[in-house]
Amino acid sequence: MAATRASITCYYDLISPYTYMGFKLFNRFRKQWPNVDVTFRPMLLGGVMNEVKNQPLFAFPSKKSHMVADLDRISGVTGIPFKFPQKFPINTVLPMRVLTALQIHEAEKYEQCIDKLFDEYFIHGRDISQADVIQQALSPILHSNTAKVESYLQRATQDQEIKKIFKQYTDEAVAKGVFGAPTFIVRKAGSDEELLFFGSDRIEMIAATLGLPYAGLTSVSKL
Amino acid sequence: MSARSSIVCYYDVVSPYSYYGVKLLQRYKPQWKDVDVELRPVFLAGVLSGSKNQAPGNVAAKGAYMFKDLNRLSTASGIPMNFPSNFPAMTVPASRLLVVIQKTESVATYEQCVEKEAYWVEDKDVSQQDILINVVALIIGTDKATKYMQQTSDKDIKQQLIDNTNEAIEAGAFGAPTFVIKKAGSDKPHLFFGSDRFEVITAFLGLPYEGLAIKASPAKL
Repeated sequence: MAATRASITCYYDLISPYTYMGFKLFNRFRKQWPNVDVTFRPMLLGGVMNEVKNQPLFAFPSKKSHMVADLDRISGVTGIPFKFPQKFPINTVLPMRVLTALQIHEAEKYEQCIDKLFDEYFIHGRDISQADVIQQALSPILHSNTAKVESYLQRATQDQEIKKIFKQYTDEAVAKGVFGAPTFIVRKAGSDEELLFFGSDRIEMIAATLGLPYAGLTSVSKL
Repeated sequence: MSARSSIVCYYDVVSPYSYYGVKLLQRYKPQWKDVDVELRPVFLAGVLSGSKNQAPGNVAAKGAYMFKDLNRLSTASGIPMNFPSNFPAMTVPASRLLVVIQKTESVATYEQCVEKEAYWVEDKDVSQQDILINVVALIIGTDKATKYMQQTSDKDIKQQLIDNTNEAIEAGAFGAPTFVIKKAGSDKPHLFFGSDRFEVITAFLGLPYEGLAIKASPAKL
């Protein structure tokens, strides 16, 4: 049955620089959208790319150099910090599975954890594929409970259920037509139709589709 | 080094996002008094192979998305689009014809020819020389249209399109539309890719962003 509220599901992977920027921008803009339900759904971008036979931007030197320049400019315009990490790409399966577990078991802290891991990688250049880096980043958010973070790290590598759910999310993304990240699946209030928007540069279009305000890139810092 | 900012827009008639990019740029142009704007035709397939990129339609999921995205852009911007039945069309003759017109005619006439909606609204097969002649004849008359079409087989015209294409690749282009922008007082080129970069471009140049639905200003005589 169609929901009475509009909803947006954002498919993301920590590996993607445009998803970092899209996540930051989207979270600012959505402050003006109180009547929209938002879900951030983990997926393995490499898995999606393989499945749909797409190739990552960084496979093309000219695209990669444009990407870095483009993100630097967006950073300049919006005030959202960005530093392309020295170690790129990295394997994000571990932190993405941790986030899958956190979404289920720490729902209230989940988005803060995504934000933190993005910052670690795309501001501070830390290698978030490493368990100790994830531990350090997330334990302050989870009340300095290192044992708790440790248990999520363990689940990420050993819990078949978490692995299965993460795999399901990735398959679900492919089934919905996702071919890159960030991808936003948008539903208008009262409608079951799923509208797919690709890219951190489509937030204005999403706002227009849902009849919501769009504050603009140069106003982001004031939101 | 110029005292004015400049934008060179590399485009190919075959590219739907170039169609939007050119249309949007033309809407901004009258507002941007201190920016020199030039539309420069390229051979997109040459840019793609030169940068080892591939067309978005090669990935099925991207192709499916592109149709929807283009329709939504059309609705949001009010720029008409009707996806052509012959896609992708072989646009080398059209690009060469535009090279001749850019060389020979006034900027205003040339831009009118670029903006003509024969392919992206009227679904005319612009790979055909006789159709091309008829399309531009509406703007420059049949005699000139016929003459310019003959000139597309001139060596220097062919070479000009190759030069434009190589210039775009050297600037770092890997698709179209690509905008190479220099700020006033600087020689440093900045490459922007895509018809969705106007918000960043305007902020970069310190100009107001008008949003997706930027209105066309009334035609000037």
